[in-house]
Amino acid sequence: MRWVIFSLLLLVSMILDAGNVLNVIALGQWNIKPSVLITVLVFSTLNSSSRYGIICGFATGFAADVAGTVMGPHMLCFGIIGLILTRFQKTMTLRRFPHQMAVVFLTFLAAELPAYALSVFKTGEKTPHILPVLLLTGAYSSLAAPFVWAILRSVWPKVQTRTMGRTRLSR
Amino acid sequence: MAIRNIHASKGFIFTGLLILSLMFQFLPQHFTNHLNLIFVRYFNPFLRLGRSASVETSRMSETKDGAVPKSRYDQLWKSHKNLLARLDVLNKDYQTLSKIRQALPMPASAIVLAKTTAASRPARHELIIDRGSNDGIDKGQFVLSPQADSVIGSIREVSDRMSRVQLITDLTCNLQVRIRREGTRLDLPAHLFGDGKTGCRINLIPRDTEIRPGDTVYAAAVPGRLEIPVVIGEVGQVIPDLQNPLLCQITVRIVENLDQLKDAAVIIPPLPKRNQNTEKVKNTRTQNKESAGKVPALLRTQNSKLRTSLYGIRLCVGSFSVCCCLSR
Repeated sequence: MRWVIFSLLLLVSMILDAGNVLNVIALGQWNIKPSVLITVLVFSTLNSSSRYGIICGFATGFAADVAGTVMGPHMLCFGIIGLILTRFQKTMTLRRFPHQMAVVFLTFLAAELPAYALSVFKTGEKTPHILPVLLLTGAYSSLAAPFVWAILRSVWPKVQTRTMGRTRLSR
Repeated sequence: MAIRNIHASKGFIFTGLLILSLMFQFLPQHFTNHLNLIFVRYFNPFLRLGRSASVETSRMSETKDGAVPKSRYDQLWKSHKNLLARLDVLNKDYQTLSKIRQALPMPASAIVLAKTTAASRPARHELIIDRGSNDGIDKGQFVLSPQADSVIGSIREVSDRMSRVQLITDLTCNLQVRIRREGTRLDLPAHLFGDGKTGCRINLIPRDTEIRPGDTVYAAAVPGRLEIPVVIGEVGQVIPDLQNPLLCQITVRIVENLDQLKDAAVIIPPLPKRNQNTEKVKNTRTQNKESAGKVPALLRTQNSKLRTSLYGIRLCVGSFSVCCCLSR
């Protein structure tokens, strides 16, 4: 795995998530915009070997924390979700758009709800209306997932090395 | 540059990274938030690309006759309201002065101008500014519009060079305000909360209180932070509280356009002026007493720091020994 290229990929995703670029497609008064990092998490863990998938999960969580406001919650949740996703590598073939969207939506909720609880545990700051915001963000992320997925699919061969063995994309 | 082979087992990698993330989770927020602010500082040009901000506020209504442009009208309205508030303070000061015939120090708070980076997330209305504790900024200080004539938020977190500003529209914002009406004695204290969408609201106001749409909402003066009340907006709607019929809910229309903020002004409270000579005398007198008291306190803090670091080292050693056992 070429970690430098993967780090650059994460950096671009962080800038997209934390910056103003995606405000162009933000919706509603709550400024709902899609999360790119959650698609990166699902894609990278499903398309790497299980060992690298775990690292990808934690690295994506670290990136989400740095791009956010609290350090720790996303790294924990993305890491654990990444481990679970690596277990499903051989059973899940996310070639169709609806499957990709469903997995991204469920992963988003499974990761973001505990991450919010952990951030409240750390900072003590509760955010009202968090459930609708997370649901809408998850839905928007899942809608955007096929596009992000296609981009990642084209970039991913440059991230992988030939010695990594059989992964989903090489099959 | 490729790390081709990682020989550690999956369990070892997972446990190691899990411990690392737990360390991040349990480290204090004021320590870890530097990472967030460093990211914003170094990638600020990229983060600023795109639409400037995402917080669209419900603005005050346009002028009916259209004689003055909206921006000019807003500016004049804010200046007028602030002048009225200042006049009120000056009147009170004058009355006090006329009684005691002694000069009082005028408020002389410094104002620091800062560039903003919109980092608003869906659930939070926040801005990041390029000024930090090096510039005298501290948590809780009031943040004003670029013209320094209306309150837009307060400082939430501070690092050396960056700060996070909580806007008044944020759901967790809680600000002491005063509702006033021009030409009357109405001066009602209240708490203003952000509605997380476009404006603010004021709750827990008795229904029989005489508040009308158009009344002015000021940020209340806070000693040491805001010397005089500064305008926030005006009362938009006064509707009965559905849950408690004895109370009413008030929506506030913000005067400042938070959508196009590129600069902000932070009020830095002035340092208390002291007589240097008396200070020196006091210092020499109390130096010996304080030095005697400082030594045990210093030792105590050093001991607690050592204890914390020892505890951390033990935790790391223990966790890595568990990892080694798991990897075998």
